[in-house]
Amino acid sequence: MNFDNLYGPIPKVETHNTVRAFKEKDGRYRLIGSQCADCGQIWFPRRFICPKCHNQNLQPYACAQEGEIVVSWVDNMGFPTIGYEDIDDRLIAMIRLDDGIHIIAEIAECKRVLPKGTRVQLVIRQQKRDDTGNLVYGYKFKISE
Amino acid sequence: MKRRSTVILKVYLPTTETEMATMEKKTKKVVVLSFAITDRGYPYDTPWRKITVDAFTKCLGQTRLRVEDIECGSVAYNERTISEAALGTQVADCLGLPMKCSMTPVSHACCGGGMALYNVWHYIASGRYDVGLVMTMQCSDLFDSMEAMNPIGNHSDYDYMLGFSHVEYSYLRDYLYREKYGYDVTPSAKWSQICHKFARLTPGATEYGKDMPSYADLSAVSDEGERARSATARGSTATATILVSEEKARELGIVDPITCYVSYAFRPPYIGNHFFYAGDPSYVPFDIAEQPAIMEAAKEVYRDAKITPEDIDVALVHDLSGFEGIMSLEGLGICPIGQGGNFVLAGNTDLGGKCPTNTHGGGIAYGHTSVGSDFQINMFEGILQLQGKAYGRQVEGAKVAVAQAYGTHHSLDIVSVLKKGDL
Repeated sequence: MNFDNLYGPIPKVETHNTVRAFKEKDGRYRLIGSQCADCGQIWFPRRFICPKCHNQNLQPYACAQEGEIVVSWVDNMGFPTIGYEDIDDRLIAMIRLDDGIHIIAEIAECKRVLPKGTRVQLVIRQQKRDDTGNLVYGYKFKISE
Repeated sequence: MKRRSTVILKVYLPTTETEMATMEKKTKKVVVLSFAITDRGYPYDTPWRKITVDAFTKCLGQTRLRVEDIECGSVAYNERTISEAALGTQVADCLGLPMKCSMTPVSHACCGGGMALYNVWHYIASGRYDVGLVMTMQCSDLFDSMEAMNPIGNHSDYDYMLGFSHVEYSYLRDYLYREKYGYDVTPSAKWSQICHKFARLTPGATEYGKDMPSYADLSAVSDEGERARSATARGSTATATILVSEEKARELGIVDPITCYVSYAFRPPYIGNHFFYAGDPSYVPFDIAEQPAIMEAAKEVYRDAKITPEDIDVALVHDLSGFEGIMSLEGLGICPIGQGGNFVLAGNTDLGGKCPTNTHGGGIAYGHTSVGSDFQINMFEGILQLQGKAYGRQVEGAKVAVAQAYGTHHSLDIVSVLKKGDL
């Protein structure tokens, strides 16, 4: 986007904090989503009602930790979210896990676009330092060994 | 002792298709009475109240109505950029509206203006009110044009927290569309070129009065090329639109009124669900290279307005990149899915083409202000076209226009139909 037409400085604001991050730690550390005990449909991120059968009988579900790349691209367009400004170009991918769940994640230790179908596996990595100064950790993927 | 009579309440339930049809909801037609957008170039220290008042007074000044005639309203804003809570009351107070006037706040990112219209349209179509006000604003008070918007519409606990925003998804969407349907960047470059040409004919557009970019710049395969094919920021902007019922339009003696219809649909915000979502079977065949929420919204609003895509004379779509505009045309049914690139390359979005599109320059060249005016500029241009006032870029004989906008990465879409000669 062309910002030449804006007037004045651009201050930064933050929306997330440690408490909010803590509440979703199971999903962010271990890919815990939800499975509907009635219809069996699996979901990620976790849900409290099943959109398929509309029951609320959802149980924690550990998503598959391996999958394949649907599409990957390098995020270098210059609009990083807060906390990621100082991180170099990131390889981002849409990943289809082996159980059919689709998630977006960064590919660790790789900066080149990967072809569709590349096998990847879950890893935990440092993400950023949040507005309280705490480090945020979460899932990334790396090329399967 | 006096005996009390027994009253049996009967609940009538329709049982046949004919009975169901007669039970169909009746709505009043809604007429656009006046509209206004603020000029460009507000200094950074301009408060949101100033631009809001400017748009409102400019809009009201075109009518014979008084402030106290406004019965209801809705205001669209970004909750990240306006610190006041309960903003509806703040806006009603700021404009001096009567105490009985409701002003519903909505925050739906770039299609927030469309949602405000959606609210007021229903207030009037239901028959409860006759005069309604739609306000939108994007102000640089606490304004970071990208960062403030980035979490909105995302499943923020995951994608935003892990450093992703709808900006990533915009580029992903373009990339996937090209890969899936076999295009290089030329359709987007052609789209942008046509938009830039139209903007040079549209006073008020961000690119109005500037030199045309070269086609080589617009078609460059580089970061600079991507930016050239993307939207242009417009800065602080507010709009105002006054809608009236058909009875009020007749009472006011409106000549050649423009009626409007509007519909809305959403997609599950988490981006993974755009690739597979079991909650609604109609989503399953699509990923983010198609726009099922636009299709859903269009289906409903076309039915309400009693039109088909073939009836559309001019389309005004939300194009933060050329390919997004192209995908919107496909979602609206103006061209087949996957054929939008060829549709544009054949010149069909230019004057004289099958469906002239974004004749004001669109987000690419009129300017992008998100909730400030992204939907409204499309709607206003549609009205000008139907009124025959789009000088220099007029689509001859235009009677039906469609205006569309989306919020963040198409997690919500608004489609509106504007008709001439409908009353």
